This record gives sequence, structure tokens and C-alpha cells, in this order.
Amino acid sequence: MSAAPPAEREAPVSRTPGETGIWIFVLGDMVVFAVCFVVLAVTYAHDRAAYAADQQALHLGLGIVNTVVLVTTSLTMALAVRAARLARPRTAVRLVVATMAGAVVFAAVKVVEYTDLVVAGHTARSDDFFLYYFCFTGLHLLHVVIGLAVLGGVLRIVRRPVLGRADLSLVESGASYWHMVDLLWLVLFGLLYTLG
Amino acid sequence: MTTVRAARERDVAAVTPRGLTEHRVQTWCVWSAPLFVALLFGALLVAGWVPPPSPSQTPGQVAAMYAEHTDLKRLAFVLLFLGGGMSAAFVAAIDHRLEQIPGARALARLQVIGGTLGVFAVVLPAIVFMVAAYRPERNPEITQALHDLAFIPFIGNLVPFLIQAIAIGVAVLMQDPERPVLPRWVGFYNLWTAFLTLPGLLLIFFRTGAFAWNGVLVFWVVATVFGGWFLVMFWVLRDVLRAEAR
Amino acid sequence: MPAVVDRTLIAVWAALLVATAVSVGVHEGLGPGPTTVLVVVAVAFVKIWLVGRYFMELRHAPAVLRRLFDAYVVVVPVVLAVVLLA
Repeated sequence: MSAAPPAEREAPVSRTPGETGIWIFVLGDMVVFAVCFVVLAVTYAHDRAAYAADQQALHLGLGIVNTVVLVTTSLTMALAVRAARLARPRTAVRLVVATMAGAVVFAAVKVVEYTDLVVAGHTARSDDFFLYYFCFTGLHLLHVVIGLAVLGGVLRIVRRPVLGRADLSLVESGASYWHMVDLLWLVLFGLLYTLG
Repeated sequence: MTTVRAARERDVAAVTPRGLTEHRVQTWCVWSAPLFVALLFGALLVAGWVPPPSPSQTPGQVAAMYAEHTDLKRLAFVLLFLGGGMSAAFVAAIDHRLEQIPGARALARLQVIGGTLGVFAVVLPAIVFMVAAYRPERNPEITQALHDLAFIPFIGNLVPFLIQAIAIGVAVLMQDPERPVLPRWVGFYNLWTAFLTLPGLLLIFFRTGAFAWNGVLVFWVVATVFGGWFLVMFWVLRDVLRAEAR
Repeated sequence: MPAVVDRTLIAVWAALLVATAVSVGVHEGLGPGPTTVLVVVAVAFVKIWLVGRYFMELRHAPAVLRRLFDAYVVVVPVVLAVVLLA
């Protein structure tokens, strides 16, 4: 267990999780999504009845399933970081694989949702609500797909029996990115599925 | 070759005993970035295009817009034209640093290609704007077509910038962490910037809303990110240059 | 050897699920209206704050990072609430 220096076991008083650079990405993306949230709010304020009616067409159940899935992957990812710090590669690998599986489930559910909506005649051309629904959840789904690639990279690192400081930093960076994917969805879900 | 080098050495010696000529040229190149931003956004202000005109304007409205303050608009397009040229110097300043990263030769070249195309991405719309403003009394539909022909690439021609930002991002992240030429966060920052300009590609689908060329996600986010990129990169390169001079 | 499974993280996960249930419950029970809007926005950003503080480990992060994140979690929902209820 000498692989993990004592400092890594319990996080010290002040320490940036992951690389500084990843926080530019995370906070930057959060700001851009904040603009998207405000666009949704403006759409709602513009015509509440239409927003509520369009919202009825969404499948709330699938939205809830995806929220539970993403929140759970965030947990498995946080635990994976712990496992990596405690130098337990097998546990870490299992947790990262579980996170990736969750990401795949999320994407699959999203595809089912999109297909259902299009078959029912709701497309990005229907009105503002569906335009933003497709664009913003599509942008988020793009984050999920990039996240899968990031998690794949993390998986390659945590497989190793011994992790250095830089390796752990990369794992933390990947985890921070993934938590951001979760966090953005939580607001999108609230605004798109449960507002009206 | 030898003569050139000899001439240069003589030149350096003539100007300053410490050989700061190269440093001075680099400084000018680095300072071209805030100048570019000032010219670009200054031009938009002079043209009265902050916020930008709506893409849903009728041909008559577009023609009326060009007929009003025509000379001011022409001046704005000249400023825009000059601004485009200004960005070339900054491409050279970035290239100077990327060349110093071992193994990043191809990426340095790619940055220059992206940046060079980027000059055209500003200069060509500027020329078409000039053409549109040249005869405002012509058939309004023609003016509208020229206006579209300039505005769509002006906001939407993001591919050169994408090439440039990705090349810088990858080159910075591949640096030896022990001896970085540029700070590592700059790599993440460039990749993030590249990613953010992507919504701009949606503008041809819309004439109203957040994704139209005057929309919040296409104009405001992309303009902020793009303008901000020049200022942040300016600040980074100036710091590197200052550290080098010490 | 310390366990990988951490009680705090599990508790945060459970809280996130409960919070989701609360906002869905309010949406279904109360229907459209200012109360639903306020609850949905508030709950969403409490969730974000939990994810940031515990999953992203911001509680151990430098003050700058923590403050930026906290500012986001306060400013964005306030702006949203103002626009939504305007």
C-alpha cells in the first residue's frame, strides 16, 4: 500500500481536485449552459401554456430514469477516485466500468426518447420548446459521448497497480468532467421535464 | 543565408547591445491581439451592429440599413479589413511558441494554416460588406444577398479558428510537464474554446431565436469566447515574453 | 485498510435521489405555477451544490474555486427565477 502516499489518502485542507486546466473547461461549460438555461426560462416566460403543453409530450418516466442513472454514475465515479487513491486497482476498474455502462444506458434512453418524439411528430422544427429541447439535450448528449472517451482514458490509468501523483490528477480531472455532465443534466431535467 | 544572418547580427548589435530586436518584434506581434479585438468590435460599433441586425429583415429593410450612415458603414468595413490583417501578426506570435515545443512541428504548422485561413475569414466578409455598401441604391434583393453572403461567413466561418485552437490545445497538452513553453491550462482552454464555437455552425438553419446569427448562443456566446480567446492568449504570450526578457 | 465505500458519498447520492423525487412530486402534485417553478429551480441548484461540494470535492478545493462555484449556484437560480416569474 506504499504506492499511495499518505497525503493522497485523506485530502488535505486545500487542494485543487484534478488539474487546474480541467476547471477552466468545467466552469466555462457551466457558464455556457447557464446561458442555455436562461434561454429556456425566456421561452417559458414567453408562453407558459405552450411550454406546459409541450412538456406533456415528453416522457417524464424516461427523464427520471436518466436522472437516477446519471446521479448513480456520479457516485460510482467518486468511489472510483477513492479506490484509485487507496491503490485498489480492481475495485477502481469495476467502478469506472460501471460508470461507463451508466453512460451507455443514458445515451440509449435518450435515443429512445428522441425516436418516440419524432415519431409522434415533435421535431426541432415544431416550436421553440422542442428546438431548445433537442439542441440542449443534444449538446449535453455530446458531452456524454465525449465523457465516455474520457472515462475510457481513466480506465486505462486505474488499471495500473501503481499510480503516481500525475496519474491520480488525471483520474480526478476525468471524474470532475463526468460530475459536470451529471450536474448540467440535473438542471436541464428540472427545467425541461418538471417546470410547467 | 550567411549574409542575411550577418546582416541580422549587425542589425541587432546596432539597435541594442543586448539584442532585444527580436524581443521587440515579438512584443509587437503579441500586442496585435488586443488591437485586432479593438478593430473588430470597434468596426461593429461604428457600423451600428451591436446588437447585430436581424437575419429576418426584409430586402427593403436591409437596403434601408445600408442607405443610412453609408459612409460610417464603409469606414467600419475598412476597420474590419485592417483588423483581419492585424490577426496575422498574432498567428506569428503563437507560432513562435509552438515551434519551441519539442515534437509539435506539425501542430505549429497547422496553427499557421488555421490562423492564415482565419485572416481570410475576416477579410473576405469585410470585402463583401464593402461591395454591399458601395451602391446602396441598387435593387434591394441584391443588397440583401450580398449582406447574407458577408454576414453568414463573418459569424459562421469557424472552421479556421477550430483548426487553430485544436492545434494549440494539442500542442500545449503534449508538452513535457517539467519544461512547459506555455502553461498547461492554456491547452484545456483552447480545446474548450474550440468546442464552444460549435453552436455557430447551426446558424444557417435559423433566422430567429438563440441560434440565429444575432442569437444569444451564436452571436453573443461566440463573440465573447472568440474575443476573449484573443485577450487571454495575448495575456499568456505577454507573460511568457516578459519572463524570457528577465 | 480503509473502505472504498464512503458513507458521506452514499448519503449525498441518496439526498440527490430524494431531491429528484421532491421536484417530480411537486410538479405532479401542484401542477404549473410559481410554487412549482421556485421549488424546481431551488431543488435543481441544491443538487448541483451537493454534486460540486461532495462528488467534485470542492469542499477541499482552494477558496477561489469554491467561491466561483458557490457564486454560480446562487446567481444562476436567482436569474432564472426572476426570468421565469416575470
